[in-house]
Amino acid sequence: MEPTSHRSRVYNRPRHVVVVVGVPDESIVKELNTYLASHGREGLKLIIATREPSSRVFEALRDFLLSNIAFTIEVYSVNYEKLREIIGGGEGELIKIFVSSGACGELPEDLAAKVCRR
Amino acid sequence: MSFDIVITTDRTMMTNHHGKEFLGFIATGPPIGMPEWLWLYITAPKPKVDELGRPVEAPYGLRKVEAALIEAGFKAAIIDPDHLDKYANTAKILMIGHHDYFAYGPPSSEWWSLTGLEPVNRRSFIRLMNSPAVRKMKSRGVKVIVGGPAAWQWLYELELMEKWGVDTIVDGEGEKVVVDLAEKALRGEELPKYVYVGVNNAPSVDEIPLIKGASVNGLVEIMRGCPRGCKFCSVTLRPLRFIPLDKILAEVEVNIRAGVKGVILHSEDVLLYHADGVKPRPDPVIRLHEEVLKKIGPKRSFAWAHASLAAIKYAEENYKLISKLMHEYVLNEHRRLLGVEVGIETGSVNLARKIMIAKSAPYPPERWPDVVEDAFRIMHENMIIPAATVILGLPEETAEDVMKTIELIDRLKPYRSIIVPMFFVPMGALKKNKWFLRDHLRLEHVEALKKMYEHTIYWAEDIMKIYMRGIQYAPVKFLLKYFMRYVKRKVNKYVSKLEEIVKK
Repeated sequence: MEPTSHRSRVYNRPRHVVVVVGVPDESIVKELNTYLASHGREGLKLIIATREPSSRVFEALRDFLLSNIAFTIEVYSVNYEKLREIIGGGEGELIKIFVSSGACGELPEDLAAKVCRR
Repeated sequence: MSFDIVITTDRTMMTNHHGKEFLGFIATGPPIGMPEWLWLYITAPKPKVDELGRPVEAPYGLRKVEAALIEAGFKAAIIDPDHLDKYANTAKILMIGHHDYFAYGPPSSEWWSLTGLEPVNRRSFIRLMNSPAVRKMKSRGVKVIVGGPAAWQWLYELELMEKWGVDTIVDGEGEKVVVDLAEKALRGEELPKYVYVGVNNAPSVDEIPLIKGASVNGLVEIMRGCPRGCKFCSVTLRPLRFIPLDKILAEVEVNIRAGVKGVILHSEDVLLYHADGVKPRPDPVIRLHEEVLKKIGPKRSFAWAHASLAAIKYAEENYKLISKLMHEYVLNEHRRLLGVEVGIETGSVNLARKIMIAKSAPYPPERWPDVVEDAFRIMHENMIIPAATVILGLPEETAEDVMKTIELIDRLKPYRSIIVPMFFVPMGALKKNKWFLRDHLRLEHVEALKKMYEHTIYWAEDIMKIYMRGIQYAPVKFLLKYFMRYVKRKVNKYVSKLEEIVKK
């Protein structure tokens, strides 16, 4: 029989959620650093809602992600339908929604009403 | 039999390097002076596999992921890259790990930069991702999760990430997060595109699973993390944990039962096993060696993955620990040397103070060059053969710093060793800095490269005689000797060319 070690390994999913609508621009990335410093201890779930390819998203986030050496970060790339669900609740503790410049114009009206006029 | 989760990597990783770990480094270079298939034969022969395509020996990191998944109840297995087609129609998740996916790590990036030729490890990995089996899996909607120490490199290859349909990048210790990701993937839930595993998710000693199958060349982890805090290193960012001796011995047993012919104790600093800060304590280190060597018997090989030069000096000068370990436990008629990787990084006290202030501890950074030389002498006298690294192009490095490094390499000439130059790669706390590339070379860098080359060539044949005894190594030895002759012929011409480039 193969040796067996401890079985309960519970991954602590990030508790705090930040949503970015559109590809994060420089000012948003700067803000993300602040949020990571203040909420990172319990993990940060970063949800990016955009129609742009994920390569563009990660290019914008590369330095931010590489400079993190301590905190759990998860990055999701979602469509607008999923964004509706997230804003509706059930995605951990939503602490902030950022909207990158120009992104409001691309959003469906109902979503724009929710995230662009906050 | 099928597996829901197939774990794999490319050929340069899925190999035992003929049982000689140092040969693995050859995969970090481009094939020079011989065809790539011959180069691959030297560095990465195909491993033995069972009828399901599971390799007898597999990379240790993959073994940990496999163990965590099996213990969580998943049908998971490591599969050799040549046998992925067996699971192309059935696998649900493909997990891939690597030390250096795209050859951006040290020393691959340096050989690439110097020669302008793509290293073999990168070519091999790209071949894996373009293979019919991986393409077939992806076309079926298999989730592709990539991780390991080189996970960060994917952030520089975003187009390939999209082209190959990589679903998730996992950066950091994977034992806990892979279980969560596997559950999500099998339930059809959305996966994160990227996960960085923070300190709050690093597994405790109890949560680190025991490997279920043998590791490459019997590598077994004795510690995780490092207390020295060198700014260029990513390992030092992890919390320090000592693996209990019974778990170490259990993993040695797994390897012995699989027929592996040796053990490599893996740690960033083997002598710091249960140390008092950075001061080695003889008792736990002796007990570790006593128990492990008793278990493997006199004929199996034995090596350390890494040790620090300061710990070697301190252990010998205070406790005669190195000579005791080597002469009372390690060396015998079958084991005539102990191989280890060590870091010199710089000969400059100024630079040492800036980027690796605790590397010389418990000695002050002002004594770093003496610490290096004393440790080299101790190793030479005790048949420890180090493969030492020197980093060129560290942030804030001056011409004078490089000259100090050259002086130190001169002082190391009498000591049997390999010295490998590495170009600075932004990792650890220096992640935000720039890569050091050929265009950044100055004349003193070229001189340092030449010195290290001369040192290594001077000792290479002597080391090869001791390191690769036995008729089974004759073909590899022949090819290595041919390669060294080829390099000797070409190097002067190449150095002149480099000097010309630098002067321009």
